[in-house]
Amino acid sequence: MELKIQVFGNLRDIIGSNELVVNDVLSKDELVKMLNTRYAKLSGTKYVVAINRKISVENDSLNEHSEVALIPPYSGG
Amino acid sequence: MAEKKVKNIFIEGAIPPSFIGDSIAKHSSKTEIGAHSIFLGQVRSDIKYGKNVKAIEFTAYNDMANEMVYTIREATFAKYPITCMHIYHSLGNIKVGEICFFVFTSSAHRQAATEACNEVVERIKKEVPIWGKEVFEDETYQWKENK
Repeated sequence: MELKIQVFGNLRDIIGSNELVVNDVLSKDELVKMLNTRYAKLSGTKYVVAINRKISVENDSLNEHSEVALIPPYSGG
Repeated sequence: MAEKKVKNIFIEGAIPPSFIGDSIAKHSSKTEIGAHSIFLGQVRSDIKYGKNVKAIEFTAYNDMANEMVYTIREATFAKYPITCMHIYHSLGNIKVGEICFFVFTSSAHRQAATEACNEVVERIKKEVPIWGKEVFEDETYQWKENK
């Protein structure tokens, strides 16, 4: 299962892209663990995961239709 | 159930003062209004590490941001007796001194418009996925974080 992840704010500098693709990740916790391993700087950085435009507070499951985004602290206004 | 009408709050570039003036003028026919409250966010020239901020570059998770603003908007209409509310936020490179955020509420009496406007501003800063990158005169930058 291929999953497209949108990347925002300072996380774009860490990941080096606005978007990334991951394979065979079935839950939010798996995704975070995988990303923090792949991008060492990410584990010391504040961010949350949004699934289908809502901040995920539990270990939600992911499927190929999930709209997933990595969200750092906001600074609008 | 009424269809959810999510508006786009984003404007590419700075918000022109004439746009704000025109928005005010459009309300002259709504004679039940007795008070307007307006918040304008302007890009400030902070000095950090001895360097001047020359602009803020805004990006957003547009779809999620517009949905969040819709929710905030509905909650604010339910809480305060206001007649209308307009919200705009800039995207892209906004120079020091330019307007990047515009919230406009109107009501029969001043208290509702003032309180609703303040609450919307605070909630947007805290809850809506928008990011600002402070760009310095030497083109280096740092990401902002709302307090």
